[in-house]
Amino acid sequence: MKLRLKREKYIKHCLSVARRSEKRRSQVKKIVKAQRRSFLGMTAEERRLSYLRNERRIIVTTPSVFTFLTNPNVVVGLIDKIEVALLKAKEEGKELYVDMWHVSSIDHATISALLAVLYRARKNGIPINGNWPKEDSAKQIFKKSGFIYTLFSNDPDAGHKYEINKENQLFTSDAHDIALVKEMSDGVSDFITEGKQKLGGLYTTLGELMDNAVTHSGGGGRWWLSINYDRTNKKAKFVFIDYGVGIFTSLGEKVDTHRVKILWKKAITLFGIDAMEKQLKLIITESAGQVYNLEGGHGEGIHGIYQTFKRQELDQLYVVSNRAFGNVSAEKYDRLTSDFKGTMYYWEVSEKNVIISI
Amino acid sequence: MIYLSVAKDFTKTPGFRYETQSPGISGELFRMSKLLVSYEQAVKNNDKLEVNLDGTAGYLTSFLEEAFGGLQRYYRENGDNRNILESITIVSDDEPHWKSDIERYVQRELEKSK
Repeated sequence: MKLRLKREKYIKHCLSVARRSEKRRSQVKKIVKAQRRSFLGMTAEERRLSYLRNERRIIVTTPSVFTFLTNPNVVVGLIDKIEVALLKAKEEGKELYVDMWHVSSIDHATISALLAVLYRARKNGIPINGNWPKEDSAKQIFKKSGFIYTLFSNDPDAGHKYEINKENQLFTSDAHDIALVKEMSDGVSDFITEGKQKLGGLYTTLGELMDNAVTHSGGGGRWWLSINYDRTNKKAKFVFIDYGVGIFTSLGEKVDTHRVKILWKKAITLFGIDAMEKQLKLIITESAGQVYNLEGGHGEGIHGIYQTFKRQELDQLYVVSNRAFGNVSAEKYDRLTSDFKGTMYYWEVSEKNVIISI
Repeated sequence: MIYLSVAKDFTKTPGFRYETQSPGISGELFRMSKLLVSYEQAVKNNDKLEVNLDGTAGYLTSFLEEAFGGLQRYYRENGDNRNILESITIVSDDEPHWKSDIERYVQRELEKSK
């Protein structure tokens, strides 16, 4: 009698589970059917976007040519868009979704800039999501860059550990660290020359940038360094970014003494407030210390990097800050349509840049 | 002649400008603990000071500016308009450009005293 009761209870339970499951299935079927019906007449792209859209998400779509060095206006414009979207996401408690599906070409400068913006947002508790580029070559560059690991990993060492000879590295810190500068110069020297050669120019460049970022950038001193080894051409490619306020905003804030104020005003009168590209050229080729007569011997760093480039210890030097874009190698300085609130440097070092034997 | 080698007497990895930025290897410490002492000794003995920059991993402009430009500034701020390079010889065979850079840093300070 007891056993029979147990069996009946069991059968009743199974029937209830089956009914619930059937109800769920039919509900999903209805939703899918309704969705398919709503997709009628839509293009594939419209269908893709409607999959991405939901109420808890703000979507920013990246352009297909997503390269900082060749398309700076587009990249800086998009970073601006992301900043606006991040503010909105924070206010409304939403997630930011970076839609990279259409990216056909991307460079490490763009990846580093994107990381600098999103890292800060993530640290501020804004949820971030996104997709891979459809194009395989762009997807591979993005995947191998270490972007995802540095941005999303819970490993406290993520992005804080420099590994000699690793093909693609993204590194971040907010400190003056000369031991790291030495380690990096030695690592690059090992990669390029096998027999150890001193890379004094690289030591100078990395040190100056680190110093500028920590002391003057205004972004909490955080800097980003991406090192990528091109083994075929025995070339190391560098991107250094500080995402704070940018050279010109920082210089403007420093103009606190009466004398420098006059000189700063003179420069503005001479070039116009928006002619940052002309000022960038001047700072690079003649030193900010000299141009703005800065006290205490300051303002030699960027010019020091330029001199390193002139001595051919670096190749392909690019500098972007605020509204100025400088392709130093081509002596081409342009004005950007949006403000990049930080400074980005790109350069390369290969065998031909090694000039001193130890 | 008094000799001072950055690599042998101070560090092989010269750091940043201030002691707070790179303790023990800054331009500020080099100026105060090595350069000023050796320079004053050379001046006192009516001798010359040779500063050798070779043998290090490299330099930052801020390190050298703080050391040499800073020494010139130190005298200028005390009302002394001497040119420190009259008693200092710079040797930099590894990276010869540092010699002219240091001359520029000192010259910049000298112009301010005019």
